[in-house]
Amino acid sequence: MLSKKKIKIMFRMASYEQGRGKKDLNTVRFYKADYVRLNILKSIVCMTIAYALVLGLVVLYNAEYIIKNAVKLPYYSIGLKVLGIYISLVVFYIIVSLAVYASRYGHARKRVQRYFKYLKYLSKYYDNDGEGYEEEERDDF
Amino acid sequence: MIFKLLELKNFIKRIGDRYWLYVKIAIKFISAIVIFSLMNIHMGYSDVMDNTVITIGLSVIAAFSPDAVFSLLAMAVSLAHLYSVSIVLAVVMLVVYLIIYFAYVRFVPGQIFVILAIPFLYILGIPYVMPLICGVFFAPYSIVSNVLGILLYYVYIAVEGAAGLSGDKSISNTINFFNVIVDNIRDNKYMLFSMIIFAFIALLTYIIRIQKFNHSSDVSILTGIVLMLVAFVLASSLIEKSDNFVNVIVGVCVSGFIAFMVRFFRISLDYSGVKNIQFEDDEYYYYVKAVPKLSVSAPDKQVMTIHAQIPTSNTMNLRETIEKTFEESEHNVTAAVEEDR
Repeated sequence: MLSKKKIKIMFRMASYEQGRGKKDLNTVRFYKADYVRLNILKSIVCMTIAYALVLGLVVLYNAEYIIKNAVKLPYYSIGLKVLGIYISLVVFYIIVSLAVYASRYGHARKRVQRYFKYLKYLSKYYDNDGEGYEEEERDDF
Repeated sequence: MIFKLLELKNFIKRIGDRYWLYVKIAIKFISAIVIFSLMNIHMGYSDVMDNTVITIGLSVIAAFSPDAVFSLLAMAVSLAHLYSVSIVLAVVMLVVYLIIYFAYVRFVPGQIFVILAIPFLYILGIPYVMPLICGVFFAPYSIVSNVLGILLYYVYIAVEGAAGLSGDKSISNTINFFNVIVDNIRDNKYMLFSMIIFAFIALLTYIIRIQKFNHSSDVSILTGIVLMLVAFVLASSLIEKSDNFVNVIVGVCVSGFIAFMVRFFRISLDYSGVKNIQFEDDEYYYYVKAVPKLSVSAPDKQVMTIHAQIPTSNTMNLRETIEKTFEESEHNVTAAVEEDR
């Protein structure tokens, strides 16, 4: 026999699985700490690549000056400045990534918890031959 | 007027719900044609790309591909044009795109459209719409998108200017090219001012929008329009030393109108109308079609005006008729009683 409530719940679960759920379920596979750490690492790598490219453009802009004064340049102080800016950027990206990915993980976990609640309802429905426990339905994931 | 707009909104939603896939493809196709044509007009260095057939072909690909492919095609077309001027310039532009991607877009992929849209809105004279829309629809991180979009536009302008100087294509001449472009951007006070104003307007619009009072979104857009008008008129007179404020005033007003319309129709980038989902259990296969409900239903009747009735010869006097009916019924009852006797 067709149960409207069961079909509604199955529809919402299928809709979530095929949409946002793909990303959320991948996210929630990790522990929160692991997920945040992995993404901080990726952020640092991407930021390093971007910084190297910017440095390349700066060198290209000053290419004539660098070539003319290659022997006289204060490489030590230039190196310190470059490293100092790099470390500041790393710290900034770590703080921003920590906040952003921790928040994303929290939101994904809430949605997945709702999804598992519906899954539990369906499981009880099948176990009890068509009588799931009455649960207030959420409107949307 | 408001009801007419609401009916129009529902009509558009109904069409969108039914035919969302085709509407999306059509919008992407038209946007792609406009964007690639603008690129050909303003850059147009490559004879291969500046071709109607190629433009239409690329627009068709953009229309039927995922959204990310659209942005990649736009970048590829710009690089193809620059490649015709100088290989080093094309590589530099590619490096700029990569920096923007690795430093920012990687974290918020959707913002690539904001960054790429701003140069084209500048060409159309309505760049002021973007900070208003970002404030209403996005979070404060869209400030960075606005700044990068303005930077990209001025890079394109500097490249256009420098491309006119091309003659000898030796490496030293190309490095001079690059230096000219960077100097143009570095000394551009109007660009810096625009970045600051756009960032401020996007943030202010967001702050006002999230307040808990009625019509906060509309108030935020209105505030943004007024501030941008004052700021850019001042910038035109003080920085650019220009008396021609008409372009700025018209651009800001049109941008404000577009922002109001977008907010009213709540055109969302994630909009999906009818959903068709398939799933199965032990007993059945389910093919479910979910259609979103409309928020306002069209009225069945139109009440134009209500006014007091003006008596005519045909008008029935209700009181007289009721009294007459009572008298007749009393008379009939009395007559019936007497007959019975």
